Amino acid sequence: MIVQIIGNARHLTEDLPFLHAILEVVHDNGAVVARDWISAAQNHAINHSEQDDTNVEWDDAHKENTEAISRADIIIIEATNYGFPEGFYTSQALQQKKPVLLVTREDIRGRLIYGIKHKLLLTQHYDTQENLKKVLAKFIKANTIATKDLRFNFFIDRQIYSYLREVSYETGKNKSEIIRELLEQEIDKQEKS
Amino acid sequence: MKMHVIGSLREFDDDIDFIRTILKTLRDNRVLLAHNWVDAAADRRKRQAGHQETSFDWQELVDTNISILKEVDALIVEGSRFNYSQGFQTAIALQNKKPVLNLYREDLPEYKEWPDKLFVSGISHPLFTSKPYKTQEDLEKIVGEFIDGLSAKTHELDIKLALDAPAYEKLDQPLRARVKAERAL
Repeated sequence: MIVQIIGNARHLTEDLPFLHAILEVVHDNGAVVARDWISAAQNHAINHSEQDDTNVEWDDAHKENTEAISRADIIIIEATNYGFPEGFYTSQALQQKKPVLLVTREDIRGRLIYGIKHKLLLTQHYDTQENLKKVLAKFIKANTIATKDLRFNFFIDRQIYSYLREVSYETGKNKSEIIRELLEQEIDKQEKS
Repeated sequence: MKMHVIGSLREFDDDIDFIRTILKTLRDNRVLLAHNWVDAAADRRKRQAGHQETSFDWQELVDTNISILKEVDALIVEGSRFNYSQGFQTAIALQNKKPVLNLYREDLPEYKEWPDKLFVSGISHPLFTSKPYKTQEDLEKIVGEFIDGLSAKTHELDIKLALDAPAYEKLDQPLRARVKAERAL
């Protein structure tokens, strides 16, 4: 599984232990990170002040984050110091139908950020690294889908069976292929609408 | 043409005149405003001095904004305060292929301290424009130019439509039920 972590590099010293905890849980669960900006931000912080973001190539950073979200299966957003970028990426991920876990040490109940409800968005509060790790592990497990082919029983009526048999005969494709293609067409159609 | 304007409630008293200038420029250019939340927000502030952000029904507000974004032609953001909601709505608008104009006052002390301005400067989307302003005159000029740019791409066509009897009947039924206008159908 590919995970993208979004966070705020401006408060790196404060957030770093928690960002490392997120990385640790991701790796412990056999997942990989789509774009590791945390190490780059750490290196940047060694040579510059934490507040000095002026020499970062923001065009590239934004483009790479956008691509990383597209590649990722799930998104984790550390939103304790939330602002425009966290909102932008949350929205972008949800529109691409990616499950998003938004974690924060701030109490955001009653704030606008808490009012954004979406079936793929889970907002959780945490206090400690242990607490954070539990929330993350649960989210990753809940969204882990085996990458190998999945099997399940499929009950159909006579009309659908006759249709599948006929199309299978005409095209030389097996019934599973036909159903898969129909579903893929439907997914394409929904994504374009 | 129809547009949606968003801003921040954080320093609303400082921003309101600028937001109103945006709305006035839209009116002067015959652009419809999708939702006038500004007067309601100003009125609420007057009535509830020291009001809490927690007293709003944020979910309803977010849902309203999302549905508006899908129906408008463009989004204008008074973005001097760079908040989460503005980021969220900007991404929705761009995803729905709606041009976004982000406006900010770079002479605000807060702006100079704000890290999000750098992030915003990195959004290299063809439909995203970010411009600084200082005065209300600057705003009128920038918003006016934004509208002109969009108007050049928007064409209203008048066409004659010949319908046969069954098609006319289908059109006429909802009209009589006053569900929709002919144009909308």
